[in-house]
Amino acid sequence: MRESLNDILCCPVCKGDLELEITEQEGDDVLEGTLHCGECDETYEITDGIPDLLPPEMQD
Amino acid sequence: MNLQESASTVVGTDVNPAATRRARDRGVEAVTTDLAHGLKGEFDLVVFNPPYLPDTDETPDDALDAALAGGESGVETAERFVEDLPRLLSPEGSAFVVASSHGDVDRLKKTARKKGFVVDVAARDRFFFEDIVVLHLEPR
Repeated sequence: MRESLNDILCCPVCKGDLELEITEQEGDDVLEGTLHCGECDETYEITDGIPDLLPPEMQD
Repeated sequence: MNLQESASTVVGTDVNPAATRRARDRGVEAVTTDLAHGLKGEFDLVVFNPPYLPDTDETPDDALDAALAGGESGVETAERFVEDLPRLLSPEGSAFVVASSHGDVDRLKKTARKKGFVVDVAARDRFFFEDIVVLHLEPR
């Protein structure tokens, strides 16, 4: 995902903003990292460029 | 994908990671999420092709079923989406939603009107045993 995509992402549970932490990127493209919701204290993974914003109960 | 040439941001969502993987592999920004729950507005154009067939005992309970069956009346998934839609659209924005004549399209229209949308049929076409209908939703 592009780094700026985080502007239109939100926590699927509380709709709050997410804090992006990048562990691997290629230019503007975030490949690995996390999106953290401070309100829910929930962390969502970015894997291979795709953020997984399924609520915790729907994740594998 | 053509939209990417004219829009500043284009993003696709799916609840199935295999689908978002495929979109990303084709160069489309993709987010794995239920409907648009992980996105916030404001979007000028939202297109939703939901699972729109009524769920029956004959349809198997697997990923393909989830991609086809939209609840008992066929429109429950689309209704859940429409309930969430006001949050996502810009004031001038609009949405297109696909439905089948096998589903309860009138019920979906009613739900959309109740949520404050003007609803009209943008397109209708006969495919084998069903009519595929595209509804256009605009904030009133």
